[in-house]
Amino acid sequence: MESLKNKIEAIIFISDTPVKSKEIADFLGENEVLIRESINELIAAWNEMDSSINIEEIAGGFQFRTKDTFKDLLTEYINKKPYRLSRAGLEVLGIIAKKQPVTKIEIDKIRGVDSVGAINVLIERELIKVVGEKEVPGRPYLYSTTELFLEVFSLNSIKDLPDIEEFGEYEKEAESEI
Amino acid sequence: MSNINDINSKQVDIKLDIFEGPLDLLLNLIKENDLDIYELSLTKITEQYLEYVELLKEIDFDDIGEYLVVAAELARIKSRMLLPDNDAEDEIEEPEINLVEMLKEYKKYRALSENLQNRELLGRDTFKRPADLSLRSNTLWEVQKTDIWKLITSVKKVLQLENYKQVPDIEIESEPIDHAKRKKEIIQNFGIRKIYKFSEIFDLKFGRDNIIVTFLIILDMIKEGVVEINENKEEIEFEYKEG
Repeated sequence: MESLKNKIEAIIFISDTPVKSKEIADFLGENEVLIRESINELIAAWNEMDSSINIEEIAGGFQFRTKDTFKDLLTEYINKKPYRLSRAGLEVLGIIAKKQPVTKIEIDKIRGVDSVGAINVLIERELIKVVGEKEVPGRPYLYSTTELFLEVFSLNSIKDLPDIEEFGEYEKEAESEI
Repeated sequence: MSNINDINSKQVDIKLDIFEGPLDLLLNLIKENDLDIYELSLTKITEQYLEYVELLKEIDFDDIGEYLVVAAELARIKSRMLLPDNDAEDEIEEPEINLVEMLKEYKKYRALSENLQNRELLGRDTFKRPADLSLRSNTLWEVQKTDIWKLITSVKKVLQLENYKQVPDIEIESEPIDHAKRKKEIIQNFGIRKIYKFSEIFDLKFGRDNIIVTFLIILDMIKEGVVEINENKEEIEFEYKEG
């Protein structure tokens, strides 16, 4: 039973954050391409199984997660108060995700409103972090999203976010009609 | 015992970052009126926008400045459109902000935040192990569903209704409303019943100040996640979530 695949499976299973294939490769002293292949086989195997869990590619690594179908059951089972994200918070998070690293002033400018409250909550919840200071007068903080952000929003990388220029597109069509 | 002034100044202190700002309000009004983002559309919703600003003024809203900047710009656009073409260029100074461009840009990010909200959220739609069972754990998340502007619109309507009932020229020195006491009342009510209709919470017979204080308390409870709004009913309903 001690196949490479099963070793990888065990490592992913016990980890509380997504495990990167390189991490596993280094630990097992194996070629990363080979590890990647084994992980793909594992993902396929779990998909085919009549199971409530999957292996998903999150934040550049791999993680066991429950399927969407079980969300009501599990929410009821856990029965704890979740962290709440306000609409303003989500907006600020989206801007930071797209423009990072970004200063508060740049965020405020897009939203037309002061974002200090939302930024503080997002920092406290570890969805964003200060990554440096901008080399301009006043040296304002630069904010970026964290690994936890990718994990919470089920993203493999920031690049998986949709292209926001597409969201403005139908406006342009309307313009050309005039 | 704290005196009345203390209580009043505390009310003013409530920082309501639950409001998403003037651009959000404008986009909502544009959508409600089935318009696209153009200067002409902005002139059509200027009056409505100013009505909301009046309400925000009334609740001693901290960030009113940003709403006023936009109000000034709306007024500028309107006055320029009223002038004949030749005069326009000479007499109206350059705008400080380009509202149409700002709205277009902002709209993209608002769409992105909706996209984020609809993603598979860890701790809401999917769960990982080890399941962190501690209170308010980092692996359980939810997103505010409520559109605050809908609630504000309803409150605005109530306050406008109430204007008709006011007797002109007679000023009654009304007793200031105790914020803490009113909050206790509301929570006690929710202890009896989990769901209240809008009209049950915002009762006209207690007067304008009471409505505004109640409104602030409810906003705070929505922000805390203690109260959720059901908007899909004919009348807005407030649902109490256990803490």
